[in-house]
Amino acid sequence: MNDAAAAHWQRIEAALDELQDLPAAEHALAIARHAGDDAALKAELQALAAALGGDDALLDQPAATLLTPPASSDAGLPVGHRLGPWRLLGLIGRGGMGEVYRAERDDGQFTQTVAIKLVRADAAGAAERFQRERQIVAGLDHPGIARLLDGGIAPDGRPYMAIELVDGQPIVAWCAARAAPLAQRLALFGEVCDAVAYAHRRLVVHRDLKPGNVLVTPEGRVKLLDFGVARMLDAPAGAATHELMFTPGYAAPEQFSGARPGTAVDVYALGLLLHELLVEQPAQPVAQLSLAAALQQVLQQDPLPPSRAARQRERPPLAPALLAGDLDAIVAKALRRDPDARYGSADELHADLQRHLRHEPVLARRGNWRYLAGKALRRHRALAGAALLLLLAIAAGSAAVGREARLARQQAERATAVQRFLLQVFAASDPRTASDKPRGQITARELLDAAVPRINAEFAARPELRIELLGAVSRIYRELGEKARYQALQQELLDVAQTQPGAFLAAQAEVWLDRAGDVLAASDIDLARQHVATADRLITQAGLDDSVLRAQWWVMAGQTRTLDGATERARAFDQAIALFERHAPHHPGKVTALTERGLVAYDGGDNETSLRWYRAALQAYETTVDRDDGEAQTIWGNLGQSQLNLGAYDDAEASFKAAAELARRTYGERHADYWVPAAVHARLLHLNGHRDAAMRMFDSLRSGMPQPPVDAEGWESTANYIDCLVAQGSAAQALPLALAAERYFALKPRTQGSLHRLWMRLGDAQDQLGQTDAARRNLEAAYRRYVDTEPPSRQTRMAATERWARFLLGRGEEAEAQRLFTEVLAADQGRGLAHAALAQAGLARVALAQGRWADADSASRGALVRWQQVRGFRDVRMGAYLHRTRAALLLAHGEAAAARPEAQAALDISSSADAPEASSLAETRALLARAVAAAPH
Amino acid sequence: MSLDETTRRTADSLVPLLYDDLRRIARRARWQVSAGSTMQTTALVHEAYLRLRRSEGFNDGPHFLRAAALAMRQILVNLARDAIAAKRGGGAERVPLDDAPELPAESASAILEVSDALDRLAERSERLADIVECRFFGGFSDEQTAQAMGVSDRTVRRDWIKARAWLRHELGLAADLPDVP
Repeated sequence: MNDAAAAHWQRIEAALDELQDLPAAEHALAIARHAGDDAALKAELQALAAALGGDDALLDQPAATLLTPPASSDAGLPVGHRLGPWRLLGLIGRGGMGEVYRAERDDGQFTQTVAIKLVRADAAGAAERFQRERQIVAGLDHPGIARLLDGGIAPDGRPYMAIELVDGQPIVAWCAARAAPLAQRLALFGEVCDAVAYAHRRLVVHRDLKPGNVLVTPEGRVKLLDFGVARMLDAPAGAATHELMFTPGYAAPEQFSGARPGTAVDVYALGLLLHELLVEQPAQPVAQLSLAAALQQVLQQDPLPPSRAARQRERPPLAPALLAGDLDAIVAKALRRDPDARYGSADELHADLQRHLRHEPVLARRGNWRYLAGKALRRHRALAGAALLLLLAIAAGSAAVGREARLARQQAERATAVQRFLLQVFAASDPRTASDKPRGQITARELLDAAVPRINAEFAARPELRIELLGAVSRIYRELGEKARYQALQQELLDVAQTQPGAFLAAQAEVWLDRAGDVLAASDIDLARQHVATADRLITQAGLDDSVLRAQWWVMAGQTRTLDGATERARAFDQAIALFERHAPHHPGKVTALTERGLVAYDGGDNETSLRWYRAALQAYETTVDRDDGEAQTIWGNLGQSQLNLGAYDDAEASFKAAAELARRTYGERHADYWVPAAVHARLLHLNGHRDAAMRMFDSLRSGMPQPPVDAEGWESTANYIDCLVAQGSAAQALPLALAAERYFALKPRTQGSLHRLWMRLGDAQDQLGQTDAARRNLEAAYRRYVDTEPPSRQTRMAATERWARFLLGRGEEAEAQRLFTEVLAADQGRGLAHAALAQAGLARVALAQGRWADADSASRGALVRWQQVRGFRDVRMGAYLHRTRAALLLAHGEAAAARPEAQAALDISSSADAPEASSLAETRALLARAVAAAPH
Repeated sequence: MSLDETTRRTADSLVPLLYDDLRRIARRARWQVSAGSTMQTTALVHEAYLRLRRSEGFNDGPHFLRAAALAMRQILVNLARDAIAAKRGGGAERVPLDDAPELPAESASAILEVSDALDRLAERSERLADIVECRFFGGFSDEQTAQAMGVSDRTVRRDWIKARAWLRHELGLAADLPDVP
């Protein structure tokens, strides 16, 4: 555009800028000013000004709205048309996948009316896949799932499915129409969870759960539609395009990356469904948004918690207060971006809802076994002696409070005993305290229920005592899981405190810290930080910067600073510890602070330091006035993990044993929280060579678990069992378990480690059984995946590489094996890891195969020297392998006399550590026999 | 803001994806019981985005948005040309595919005219033309257009008013001019 034209345009733009802010009446004057003498410009501006306002039918809407769907001249198949044994009666409707007809069975035997879904030709995948998957889906027999009765391929090649005809209304609409109360909505949702859990146990994922697919029948029962349809129509794995069969507003984030969807996507969908059931509004409203906004919404923004979404509505179907707290947390846990952080199954979700209804502590707010949100504040506090006594007095119904108080002061030396007694009463009802005493829950609650109105009445004029008592009682309610009462008293406390501005700041700060802990467990970190900030102001204002309260504040601050970096977190906990030391060295909060401080070190990879902190935490725990055995179990588990990483083997075993024992006493043997620590403990025993003891533990553990396992803890503990079976040579026993576990882990992708580790075990077992092709596939796949995801120095990659190389060596592919063994050896970098020793032995075997005796000799000797000084993870059976390798080498070189002690050393280990059927045991025996035969003395 | 090479290339790879998806949506829409339902184009971008993320690995919001708008423009213009060619009785180089969404002849002409007029607008002000491309062809909201262009919402709204006025004048869409002395 030349200069003159550019200048002309400038003038036009400038004019339009002004004109759009002026009412039409003033346009003429402005135009005259801008145009001056230029008549052409004036005319142009006049025309443009006229075009400024008003609606434009064309330009105001996106162009895409002009598009229309291609005309459908298809009225569907006619009545009477036959598909297999079915006779079509009429078109019910058209769905996204194809046409739906009403049909009846007409083979003279009996009549049955169904819905027939006839799929569009291009929506279907391969016919054999359809038939294969149909078998699996047809096996779903559950009252909550619309039954797939029949199916097949129509003559024109289109697949069809005969499904139970369901008369019902979509669940959200059903509840809205009846203004269903919360309990009824949750009951219906529970039925949905049961149905989904049932299907998941048969490893069928829905993938497209949404309110439209969940109907409620006239009898008020739930029926899920389209279960398993996605898998039946799926394109074969590896196909170039992957038809995306999900509804964007109801899809889990990982579905957008095209990854194979696991059961976690259904858990996510259940979370969205629950949200919509509670708020009557989609959690991810995308329908009305423009392209880019919809995209952003789903991929970048997290849905609002239900209580907040409800608050934004003018007339929410359920009061936001009902939804806040537990239900918010439960929905949030189902909607985590990380699939592994969600509920492991629909059952778990349902169970948590039931806990909510029974006013028991909800798991969604507990976090995983290493996360101690708000623990410092949630434990029994060392109740102030006077407050306790007053409480006791009131509960005892004494009217003469003054007299009782005086008596209490005179009996000051018994205060601690009373305190302990009361705490025991409450503790006996708390499932988290390992105890064999009968539960006294009713008694404690009744005690408190009676006390509360009396507190309010009798201390109306003594706000400071009233606050202290309300605080104490509210926290005890919390321990008992009485959420509603806890929160009500908390609020009452705040109300009383605020009647005197500037007073009772400490009590208020405590409430805010309590609340911070509550919302933190519901993952609302921002809100938690706000509460922490509020508490901060109050504490400072109260002049309590050097106090136990400030110490508790620091713990909370550290826990809410998870994103701020290790140094900040460490500093916060250090401050807390120092303050506890100074003011209350036996406060349970100190245990939490020490443990958290250890976690900071652990997260930074500093296992040594974390050990020191954990030990300090355990020591503090021993001297704490009131103890939480659940917390102790966590600390023992953390300790064991760090010790394992450091190769402090026996210590790790002892730590996990302690953790498992505490878990057993606390939760019982039939509880998921017990299985993983128990399995890890058993595996440690096994790695140490105590095969019988380990196997006995596994047997007893597994008999207390559903078989096959149904949840993550069950499968994770089974993975440890598989590790041991394979290591000891029980390949035939391991193989079916490993195949089943692989199926589970593939559906539920945990951290990559679990699945790839499983591939290694699978390959190992198949190798032992001579299934060479399968073994090759799995071992190579594991190796390649580790190469893709980990640096060469990582021990897990070294292990996978060494194993793959050993397989190749066994198949005669020496060159590649040698290359890989060398790589593993180099990756050790002087750390003295076990796999370097194995690799060196591998090189010895290569050298022998190539006739380089000297190299073979020195390498196998070097491997054993390494083994003597091994550090970190190791299995005693590796030593047997090394001795065996050397023995074989020596025998091949004609040195039977030297070979014999090596073979014996190998057999000493193998005879107890390997299973009787192990090929390694047979091999070792054979070697020894040959050595003895060749050198009898 | 001019389109750089990368954006053009991205748009090019987007075109077949978006077009494919448009067809798929058209097919699904065909199966809706209620006639005359507008096509849900929102689903379209979800699928395109994921493929692009996997293949190109880019994360740049504005880059993607600009490319998507450009790609949608190309698609709509192609559909419009097909519709007009089909009306004239076929024999055109481009054979309309089975499940392509349809454009009534009037709408098709309108789209082509807007696109041509947009080219002329771009000669005068690239910024205004880009805004039209985002809003009209891309279907973006004011906020999304602002994000794509790296300007404020307010700038977008004001620019849109100017651009729209110019286009309406250029295309003869404006109502009768009032008498202005």
